[in-house]
Order: sequence, then structure tokens, then C-alpha cells
Amino acid sequence: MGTQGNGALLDVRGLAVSFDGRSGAPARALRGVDLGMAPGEIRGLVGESGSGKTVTSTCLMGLLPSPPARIDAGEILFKGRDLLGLSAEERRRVRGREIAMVFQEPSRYLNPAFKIGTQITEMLGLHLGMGKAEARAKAEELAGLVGLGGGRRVLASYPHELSGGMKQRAMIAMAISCNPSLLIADEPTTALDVTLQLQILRLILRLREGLGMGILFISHDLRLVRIVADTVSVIYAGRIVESAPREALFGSPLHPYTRLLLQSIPLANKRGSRLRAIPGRVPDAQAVPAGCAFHPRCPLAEERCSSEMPESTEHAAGHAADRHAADRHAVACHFVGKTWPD
Amino acid sequence: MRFLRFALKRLGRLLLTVLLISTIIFFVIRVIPGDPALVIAGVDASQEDIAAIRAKLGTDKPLVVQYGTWLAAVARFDFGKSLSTGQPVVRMIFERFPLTLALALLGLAISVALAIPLGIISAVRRWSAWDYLGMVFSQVGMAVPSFWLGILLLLLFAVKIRVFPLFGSGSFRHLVLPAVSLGFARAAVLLRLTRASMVEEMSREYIVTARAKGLPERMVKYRHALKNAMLPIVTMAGIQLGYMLGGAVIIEQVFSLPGLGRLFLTGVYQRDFPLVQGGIIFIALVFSLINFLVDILYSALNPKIRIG
Amino acid sequence: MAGLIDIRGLSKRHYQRGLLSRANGGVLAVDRVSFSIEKGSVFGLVGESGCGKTTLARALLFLDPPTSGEVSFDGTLLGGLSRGELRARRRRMQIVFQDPNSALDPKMRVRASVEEGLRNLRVPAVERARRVRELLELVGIPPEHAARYPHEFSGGQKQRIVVARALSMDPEFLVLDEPVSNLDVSIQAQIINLLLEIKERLALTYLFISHDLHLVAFLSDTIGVMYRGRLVEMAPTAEIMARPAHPYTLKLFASVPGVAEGAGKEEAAAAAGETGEPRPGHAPRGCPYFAGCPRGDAACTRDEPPLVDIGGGHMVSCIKETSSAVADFAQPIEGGKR
Repeated sequence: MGTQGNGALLDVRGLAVSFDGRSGAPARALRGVDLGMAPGEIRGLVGESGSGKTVTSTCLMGLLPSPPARIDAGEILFKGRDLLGLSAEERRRVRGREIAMVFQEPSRYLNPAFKIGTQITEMLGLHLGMGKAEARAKAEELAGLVGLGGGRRVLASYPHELSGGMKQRAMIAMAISCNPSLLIADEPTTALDVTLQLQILRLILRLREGLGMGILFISHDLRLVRIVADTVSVIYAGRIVESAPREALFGSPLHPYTRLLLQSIPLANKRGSRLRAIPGRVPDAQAVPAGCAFHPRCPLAEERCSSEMPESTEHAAGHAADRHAADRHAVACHFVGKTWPD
Repeated sequence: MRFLRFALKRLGRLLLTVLLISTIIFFVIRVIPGDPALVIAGVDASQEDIAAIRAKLGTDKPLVVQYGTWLAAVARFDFGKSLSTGQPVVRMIFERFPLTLALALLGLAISVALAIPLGIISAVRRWSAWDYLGMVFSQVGMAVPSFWLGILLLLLFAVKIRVFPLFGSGSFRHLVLPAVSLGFARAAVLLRLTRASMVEEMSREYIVTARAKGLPERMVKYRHALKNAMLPIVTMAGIQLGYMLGGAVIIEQVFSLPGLGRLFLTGVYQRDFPLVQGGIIFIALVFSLINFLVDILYSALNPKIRIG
Repeated sequence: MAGLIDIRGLSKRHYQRGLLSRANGGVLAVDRVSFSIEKGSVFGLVGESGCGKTTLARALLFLDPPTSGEVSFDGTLLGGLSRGELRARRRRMQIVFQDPNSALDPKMRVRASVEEGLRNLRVPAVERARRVRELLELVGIPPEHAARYPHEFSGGQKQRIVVARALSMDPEFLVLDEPVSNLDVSIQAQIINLLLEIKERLALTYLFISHDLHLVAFLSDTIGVMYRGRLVEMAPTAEIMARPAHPYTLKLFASVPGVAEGAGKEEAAAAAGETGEPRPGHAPRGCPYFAGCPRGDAACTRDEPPLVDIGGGHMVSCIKETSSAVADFAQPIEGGKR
């Protein structure tokens, strides 16, 4: 697919972020995250609460509050440019225009005092310099694109006048208004009813088809990610533990956490059997275990795991050393291939 | 259409409030000791004179009857005649009203001009020099009694440095010092509210969205946050105006302004029933009207309220 | 068919604020729902927000008594009981809610929360302490931690404590309303396993409510589907997954890939298509799902479709599905008064 960095939409290398705690040790939210995306790729980022997925998305957007957050190391290469090296003003111009974000609860994340149409045209005027009439027409087009039937009526409404599903579509319309190359969707369907979930996921797929935008789909629910993602990265305690094409991850997961997670998810076809629960819980960012963060809960753990942090290594047959190869399967564990004690 | 229904509902509430207040006052003032007939008749009057005066006033009839008569009169906007001056109460009120209105508006203007910008800056630049200034100002403003401030201002600017007149009314300059005394204390409270309201709005999730849209920070603060933050501020400002219109009695005393406050105070001392009643109704009406306007303004600012 | 729990024609009306609401009838949150839960089984209730499943659970337990209809527990009608008798029955029916934070009093130590019910029964202190130990061990909380306060525990642990408290009354029937929705994925499995284990050990019967279709399908023996207060379909899990019949059920299942392999591809695709969202509140005449249904026609607007058995205990309320079934089996279930 090309040499490193060339043509890649996003290349996050070794991103480390910590938060100054008021009491005691700083919270190490991200401890060296590596993430890569090609243009038009839908990458799922899966993790539980406290794993660092939200910090990752916030950091990508450049919205981390600078104290108390601190970027300790790493680069965020977006279309070749390191975002972390940009000035605040340059970063702001990228935000919304080239990297946009959709949030979890549309009722909280939309400004209640402005009409939907205004919230969209505002961006068009600011980033693309559109005049009122042009912006209004574009807003109507966007409303149609996201499935908000009766565009004009919706645009003239206030957020509280719309249902949950419509609010979420409105937020998506806002986010894609300037045709960003990267859309970050942070749990976009979690607050919605089940029947709306699939509709929103289908919408996201359509956006990738129609507009060629890359989508970083963040979720705690592996079942949802499976519907929509091309590739999946699993994050645990601030590090990516496994990263693979979708079917490889679900079909042959290599990292113990991924395997256990998949076994612990309730599925209709597991009826009659017990779920495999992972003992213990996700470590607090202020007290991340040394070595491999997962070792206290891992059935494969050995002496080595409590002192040596495993690096991410490739495990796809016949691969190139290209970070962005679509079939790249990376795992950070000492014992890939070791037999399970079950 | 929804808006009209909303407005009418509020109007109905307004009238009900005024009626309730005036009824309460009617009975309360007749409970406090003191007989207007005695006041009018003077110390040496005979029993027959007093009885005659009572008959003329109608204070010898049963309370309920008096209430009925009075209520009927009020409906015709006839608040009766003052017991002390003999003039129609309505006329007395309206003679003094413009002064009080001017004072109140000026006081409000000063209050708003001081509090809101400072409050916003305090919120936006928390813990900065401006914020500390604001905090000090609000502490002082709330601690200092307005009459003390009034006297102080008089001493400084009317006696020591003769910039402003000492007493009386009739020109704008007469109003400046009283308005400042009045506005200062109100500003203190309004500032705190402004700061708190802005801080709260700035912590809401939609602000994150606004930033994520790449909006410049000033747009985020002064357009997105401020519009929502203004709601409680507007409400409070309206309430303050209502209070000031009621007649900032103490200030009027200090500055010898012939305003409504002094009028009613005198009326209470003299047990001038019609005056006091008329006055209370007037204040209640004005206050309710202000609240009504504030409600309307509030619903213009906050679309969610129109449904309710 | 008497189960541990028998519900017939249960309805619950909610009146909004204001004098006018009572005049126009308010909102029917639960509309003539009937079903039975067999002893030792898990009845799963699914539906989207506003469908009335939580209201139903509360009405069933008489926490918020039904407006009409009957609820029987172990053969006894709950409606006609005196307060004392009702309380006695209620002890045997407990509930676990979604949010452990609001379920536990933050000012009470954990042991106090768990033993509260026993205190009310005047159980002596020594016995209470023993019970609390036993219960905490059962749910996997170290008994040494009994003197701690809720905030010292994680979400998953708090939920375990809530379960322990529910079990303190020795119930036979447990209503679980979204018990794991607030928890992390890896913790969910722990709690689910716990629930399965205690069900076996203590011979419990569950009413399991959740929006997570996979989870409900995983746990339940029977599944009931609710839509706007009505029970539109009900069947043993394997049956409903293989042959979902009601259009709304199809739509639900189609929205969650992997749940029901039995739904036909075209059916599913049509059902999951973009449809307008109907307004809540006043139920129209005829089938309540008509507005969103791809198969609806004029016949559907005439009368409300009755819940009909189409074989093997599979109940559906859709005239398109049941017209042939009625001819064969002819067993419409009477819904009771509105």
C-alpha cells in the first residue's frame, strides 16, 4: 500500500497522555497508543470505560484541557502533518473542517438555544465562507443526506423538539457539513433505541461510501463494531493490545484480553452455556500494573509479564512492514500462540 | 399560537396575584392599631366629631362591607381619596411615579452595566485579576447598606466636592447619586449570578461540541454559552427592577426624593388606608407586570419554555 | 396454565399534570397485557424506550398498582389483599434495578443496607449478622467489607450488594430491570453468571427486562415483546428466534444482527427500513403498530388484533400472521377491560 506515512489518513504513534491528579500519582490515561487509518477506512476502537478511548478521541480533536492533561510523548500525523506540532489556532482550523466528531448523547451535546439549521450554517459560514443563502441550501442538502426527512422543518426546529434519533442525525449532519476527511464517532448509538441503532450505523456506512471519509468508530460494544468496522483496535489501560482486520479479530483473536472479552459477551447463540467472565476489573489510570497492564487478570501470565511491557508485533502471514496494510494484525502480548490453561 | 396561550395564562396569573395581595393588605392594615379618624380629628376632638368622621370615612361599617365597597371601587380604578390630603390616591401615585420610574431605570441601568460585563469576564477568566476585582466588589456591595452608601456619596459628592445637588428633585443630576446607591447593591448580587450562570453554561456538553466544530473561543463563549447563561440573569434583573419600582424607600429618604416610597411610608404612619391600599395594589401590579414581561422575554430566549 | 406469576389484562394508566389530562384519559402505559411466568423459568421482556416494560414490572409488584387487570402470585390474587397480606406476598417478590448508585443509600453501611429488610421483620441481631455474611459470600463480596460504605465499591460490586439485599428476604421471584446496563462489559459477564448461579442454587424465577436483545435471548426461556404498552408477541426463546412473526419483532431482531437467524432476509430488510417514528400517547384505533408497519393495510385499522396462539405457545397479535392460525387453532386470548 505504500511506504510508511504516505497516503495514510491518520497515523498515531506512541501517544502518551497523563492527567495531574490532585492527590498522589498522575493518571496515565494513554501509555503509548498506536493507531493507523487509511482514507475511507472505518476503524473500530473498542475498550471499556477507563481504557482511554475517550481520551484518545479528545486528544485527536485537540480538545484536551491543557492543564490538567499533559501530552507526554507521541505524534499524531494527520495527512502527514503532526497535529501536536501545530499552534492552537492552526489546530482549531483543522477541527470541524477536516476532523469532526459526533458525540454520544445528542440531547446534551446540542445547544438548546439555537435552531438546528443555525448550528449547521454556522460552521459552513465559518470554515467554508459560505453566504447565508448558499449555507441554507447546503444545510438542506445535508439534512437530506442524513435521512432527516422534511429538511426545512427540521432545520427550523430546536433540539428539544426532535426525537433522539433525529437529534443524532442532526449532529451527524453538523459534523459532516464541511466534508471532513476524518469523522470520529464516539459511541454514537449508545443512547439510542435498538431499532435506531442499525439505521445510524447504516448511515455511517453510507457516508463512507458517498463521501469517502475515514471513520473512527469508538464503542464498548464489540457486537456493534462488528457490523460497521473494516478494522478494529482494542485498547486496554491506555495501550492498544490488538489491532486487526475485522474478521481476523473476531475469528482468531490473539490477545488474551480480546479473547476473553469475546467470550464474555452475551450472544443469543451462546444460550445454554455460561459466559466466560474476566476476573478482576479494569485498572485505575493512577495505578496501572507494571509490565503488561493485563497480567493480573490474564490466564497466560507468567513472571515476565509483571516486569516487561510487551511491544506490538505483527502476526499476519505474508505481510509487508507497512503500518497501514489493511491486513495487518498486531498484538502486544508475550505469549501469542501459547495454549490456554482451560 | 402556543405563545399566545402562554402569554394569556401568565396574564391571568398576574391578575390573580394582584387580587390576592390587595385583599391581604386590606385586612392587614386594618388590623394594625391606629384609627385614622383619630389622626384626622386631632387630639382634642370630641367623641361626636370622631364618630362623624368615622361615618364619613365608612370605617364604622362591618369589615366585610368595607371590603366589598372598596373592591367595587378598585374595579373602577377608584382608589379613593387620601385621608390626609384629601386628594385622589390615583392622582397622588401618578404624580410621583415618574420620579421613581426614572430612579429605578437608572438604578437598573447602572446595576446591569456594572454587573454583567464584570460577571462575564470573571467567569471567562476565572481566578484572574478581573475575577478578584469582581469578587471584592460583590462582597462589598452586599455588605454595605445602601443608605450608608447614599450618605457617604452625599458627603463626598454633594458636600465635599459639590458635583451633585444635596436634595430635591427636578433634574437628572438629582438622580445620579441615588441611582448609584441603589444600583450598587443590586449589582453585587447580579454579578455573582452572572458569574455562576456563565460558569455553569461553560461546563455543559454542548460547549464541547461548539469547540469540536472548530469555532473560535470567543464565539463559543459569547454566542453559545452566553445565550443560555442570560436566562437567570434576565429574570433576576427583572425582579430587581420591580423591587426598585416599588419605591426604594430608604434611598428616597436619604436623598429627600419625593417618590413613591416616601409617599407610602408616610401613608402607613398616618394610617391613611386608601393611600396605603392603593399603593400596595399599584406596587403589586407593577411587580407582576414586570414579572410578566420577564417571563415573555425568558421564553423568547429559551425556546423550551414556550411549550409549558 | 398457572405459573408462579399470572398476569391477566393488566393495564396501567398514567395521568399527566393538569386538570385537563384526566378528562382526555391520560396515557395508557401498559395496555391489557397477559402472560404467565412458570416457576423456575426466566421470562425476558424486550422493547424500546416508552414501551412500558418498567411500568409493567412496577405494576406487577404492586409498587405502582395497576389501573385494571389481575396479578396472581403463586395462585393468590394480589389485588384483593389487605395491606398486611400484600406485604407478606411482596417479600417473596423482589426487584433489582439498573442503577446501583441510586439503589443503595450512600449514608448506610453495606451491612445495614443488606440487613434492613430483616430488621423490619424483627430478626435478632445475631441471626441478621449471620445472614448478611452468608449473602455477601453468595454474591462474591468479601464479608469483611460489610462495614464499608457504597462509594468504596465499584459499580459491579454495588450491583452485587443490591442483589444480596434482594435475596435477604428469601424471595422466590426476582424482577431484574436492566441489571447490567450500567456496568462495564467485562463486569457484565460476572453479574450475569452470578444471576444464573443463584437462580440454580435458590430455585428462583426471573422476569428479566433489558434492551439488549442478545442478552435477553441468552438468558430467557420465554421472550415477550412489548410495543407501546401492548404485548405484541410472546414465545419460547428458541421458537421466537427461529420464527419471529410480528412485524415489530422482525424489525427489532433485524436491527441486531446475529440474534434471530430465523428471520427471512427480505422480511428483515423491509422491517429494518427507515420508517417514520410514530408519536407516543393516544393509541389509534386498530393495531398500534400500523403507523410503522410495512405490511399494514386498511384491515389493520379496524380492530385491535387479539393475541393469538399460532402453535407451540407462540402468541402473536397481528392479523396478517394469525388469520390462518385462527382458522386452525381458534384460541384468541381475552384481553380484559381497558
